[in-house]
Amino acid sequence: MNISGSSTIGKELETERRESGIIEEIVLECSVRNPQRSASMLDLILYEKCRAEPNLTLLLNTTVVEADVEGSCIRSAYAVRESTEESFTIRADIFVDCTGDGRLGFEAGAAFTTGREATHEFNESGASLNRDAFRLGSSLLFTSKDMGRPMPFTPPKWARKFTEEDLKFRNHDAWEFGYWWVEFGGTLDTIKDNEHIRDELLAIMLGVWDHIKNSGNHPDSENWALDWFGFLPGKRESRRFIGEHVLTQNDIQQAVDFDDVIAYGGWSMDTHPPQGIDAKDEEPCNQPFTPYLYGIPLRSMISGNISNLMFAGRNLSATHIAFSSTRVMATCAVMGEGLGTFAATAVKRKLPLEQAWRESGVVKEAQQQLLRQGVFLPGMKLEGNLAKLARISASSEQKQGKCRNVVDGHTRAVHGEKGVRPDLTSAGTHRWMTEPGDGSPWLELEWEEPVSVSRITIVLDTGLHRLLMLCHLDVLQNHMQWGRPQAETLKEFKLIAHGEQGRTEIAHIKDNYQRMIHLPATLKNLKTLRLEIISTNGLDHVRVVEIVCE
Amino acid sequence: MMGKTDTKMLDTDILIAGGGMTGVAHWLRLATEPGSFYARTVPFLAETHRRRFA
Repeated sequence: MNISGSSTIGKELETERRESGIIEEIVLECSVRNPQRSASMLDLILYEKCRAEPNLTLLLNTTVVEADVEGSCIRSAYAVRESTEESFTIRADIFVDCTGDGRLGFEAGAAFTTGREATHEFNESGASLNRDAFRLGSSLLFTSKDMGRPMPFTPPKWARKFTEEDLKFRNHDAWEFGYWWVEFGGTLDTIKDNEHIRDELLAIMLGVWDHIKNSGNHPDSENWALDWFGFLPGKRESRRFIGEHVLTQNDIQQAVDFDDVIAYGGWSMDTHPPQGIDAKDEEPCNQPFTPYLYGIPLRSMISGNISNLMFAGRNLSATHIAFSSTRVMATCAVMGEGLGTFAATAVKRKLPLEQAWRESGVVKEAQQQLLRQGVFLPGMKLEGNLAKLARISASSEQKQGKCRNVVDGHTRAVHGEKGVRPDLTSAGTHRWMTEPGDGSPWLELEWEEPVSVSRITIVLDTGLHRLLMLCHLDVLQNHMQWGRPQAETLKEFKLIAHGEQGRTEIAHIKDNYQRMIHLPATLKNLKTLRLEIISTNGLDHVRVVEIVCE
Repeated sequence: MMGKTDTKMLDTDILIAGGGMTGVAHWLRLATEPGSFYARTVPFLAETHRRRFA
């Protein structure tokens, strides 16, 4: 399924909106290892990431069904695993609800809301006059294939019937990857009515396919056949917790510069008629963009009434209108990384959650760690980069790609249209770019006073202005560099240090396709650090976004 | 034979419930900074591998 996010629009070297950090690491790996676009291969990559973590206890197929609460604090969660006939009582200091529906928080008695707020509640122009219980509906997708020979389709008796008139606002000319507008359930309870919604969505989805195959309006579909379709409704909206801050339309439209920014978003404010496909005379969505990428504050992930509960993803503390933008998966992923990093920082500091989020020093430590991990936070720069103290020279540089840019603290260009608020960035490519004819590109940092370095981080260009996601829709796929590394990324390079132990090659990276290169080091009295580039993944010149020495 | 479901007790610093993209991104970096990050044991409860839609 498409991991949608902020990168539906962008411009090279001006507006780089794609999410970075863990989600970028996963997507880049998926692109290289999964040119066949198999959904199972994405599952495998995620599974491998789990298994690679020694500090992680992974309980798959396990569902939280109860919470033991004392006062305003969760003491334990109770979970069951049917596959092994086991149950678990899990005690923790911090509990995090990323379940989408908010089951853990719901069981713990965390305050939440559902439905659509009235305009007057948060002064939102996109809201309705009166509050109602309606939500975004759920969807079922399918994939289909051209089998090269006629493929008849007989729908079940209970499939719905659709005419071309019924679908006049819903484009169905491409058949390989279903339709998000096969949507139903927005006027129901998307949790309690989920089984009914699934049944109706199957009837709708198969009815739409019946229309394509058998109505006579689409004769070119004769050789096409269903290949896969879901039985699990793709749920857009259910519960939203009430946090220490409720993110609103005004917050995201003004791109408020939150002190505790922990993630960002940039999908449009994407609302749908609650009647879904039954709103036959309406467009299936309304998608105004916010003027800028916007920050999401930590406080919208902190429960307002349960002291050790955090949440991220669909159950974020946000109004319906703000949620209509934050709800997409890549935005949820960066929320998850932001919140996870903050939770780990609180644990590391041995602070209870209710104290940690109130302390600006703890929040700042988590923000700096996120930047170190390659996450983008509007308006924030990584501090303490020893490379900034060095004199920097290079084999060549372009006018808009000076070598000094590798220490300017910016890890992407976002000054262009639909970038970030002008006061939160500065114009420029923010990367070193060599002349295309440079046959032996290198860049060198030289310190007047030698430094000690324990970690080197190199940030490379992975084309963040472009769309990149696992996708089965060919028209979107054609906008990507899928199935291979991104052309801008360095493929092979060496890092050479000159310190108290003389000249040492500390890394020789081959076949790279990742954006973030983390190199633990023990370098004392470091005088120079030299980057020698052997090849890119296709671009005719070298680009390096940032070099960080700590 | 007579049977009864086992209940196991687990202790952790951070419990993350959820197996979608939020949960996945959430836990991954908790444990990948050896020495600088502290995450003793992080249970990850994947209720189901949800697929969601824009």
